[in-house]
Amino acid sequence: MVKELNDCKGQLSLDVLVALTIFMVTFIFILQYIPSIFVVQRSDISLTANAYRIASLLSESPGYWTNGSCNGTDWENHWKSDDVTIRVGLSDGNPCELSIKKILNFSELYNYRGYDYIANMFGVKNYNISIQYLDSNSSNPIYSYYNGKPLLLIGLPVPKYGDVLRFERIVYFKNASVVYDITTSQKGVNRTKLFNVTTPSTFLFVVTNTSVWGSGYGSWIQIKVSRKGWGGPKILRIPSKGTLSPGIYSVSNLPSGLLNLTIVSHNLAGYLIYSPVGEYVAGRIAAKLVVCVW
Amino acid sequence: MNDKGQTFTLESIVASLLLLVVAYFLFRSTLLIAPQSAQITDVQLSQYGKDILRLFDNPKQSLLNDTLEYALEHINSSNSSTLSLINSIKKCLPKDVMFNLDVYYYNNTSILDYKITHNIPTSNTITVSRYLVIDSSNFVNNSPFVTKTAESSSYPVVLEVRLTLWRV
Repeated sequence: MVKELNDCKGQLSLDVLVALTIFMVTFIFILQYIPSIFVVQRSDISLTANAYRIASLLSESPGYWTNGSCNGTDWENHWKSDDVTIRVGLSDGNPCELSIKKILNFSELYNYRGYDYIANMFGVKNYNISIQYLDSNSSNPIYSYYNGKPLLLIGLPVPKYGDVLRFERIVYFKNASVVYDITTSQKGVNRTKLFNVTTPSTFLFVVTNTSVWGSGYGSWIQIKVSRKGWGGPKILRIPSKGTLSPGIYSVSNLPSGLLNLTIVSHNLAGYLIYSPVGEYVAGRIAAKLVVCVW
Repeated sequence: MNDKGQTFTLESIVASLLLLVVAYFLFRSTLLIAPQSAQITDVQLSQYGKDILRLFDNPKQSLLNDTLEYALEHINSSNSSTLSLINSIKKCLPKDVMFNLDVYYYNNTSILDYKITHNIPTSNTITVSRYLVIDSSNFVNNSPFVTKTAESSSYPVVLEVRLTLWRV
């Protein structure tokens, strides 16, 4: 049987082929494009949640340790044991009230166990966790110091470009300040106190009385600031002219770095509050816990 | 030759292009992503507010003039006593964050608002609050938070401190 040559049954028409091609191209494009949108969004959400979660855990929780049979919140006393599992928290009991001992142990734990150990603990890949002064920011970080080293600065350097999620908590410290008596009890004799400090540090003078030697003597505080490489000391005076009145005076214009300070008080009663780790706010030494993830 | 249906080719091309354009603009739109980015800013502002109110609520140091307790106890018609508190709150916040501080109190008939700051907020603000309970005997004379009838007796006064934050 000979098939007729002009029989077009069963053949695909050109419009179907073109339409099918365009449909397939569109379909493949959308299939490839949609997941990439959601991948970006999931990453964003995940980073946000991670930064918030780490900051909350560190600032609000005292942490946890267990060895299977015993457990507790004083992980700072147990983390060196091999059979102990820990989750770090820095709170001293109240939310945002941090323990200096826990913070120092967190730094030591990081140095001892390494970057990946902390990354696995909090479920993140790239992180930077630090404690900074209240007026610190990402372009000019001012870290809190303790015994000449940053109080807490762990993780990788924060990249300048790319998606970095930064979350801050305003925290305060328990037992992070030292109080010195600067009262000039003996008439005519100034009181002197020497400090070797790394600034920024908080020096707050609380003057309760300015006539301990009687009236007519005038009251003042003098701060001699010396530094390696300087020819001689720079002298600050509170007040810059005249005599003091009872009140609270802070020293905020000290140069940064390792300094030798000589503080001399004259004809007054009061005390000096010194803290290297934060600023004196509302009767507390406050700073910022900064968590960056990317 | 049967020429019927040839225009369908053009229609399908146009329809496919339409589909492509619609799909592209729909999924390219930032509407899906923008709320997530805004939320973290709001969460951070809210957290600043909560942490600041917690920090300044320090009844053990109520003699220091930048605690909430000191500032509220010393407010009366002739003395605002809140300058140190305002300056200390400014110190805790980034420079691009502004705030208003209000105190809500009950004067035996209605709830009133005492404004400590009078900044003009933008349309997008976050408000956090904290309740303080202060003994009425701790307030200075003519305090707006103590009712005249019970001024001489000692009783707890409940104040709601509201901190409203926004970025500029």
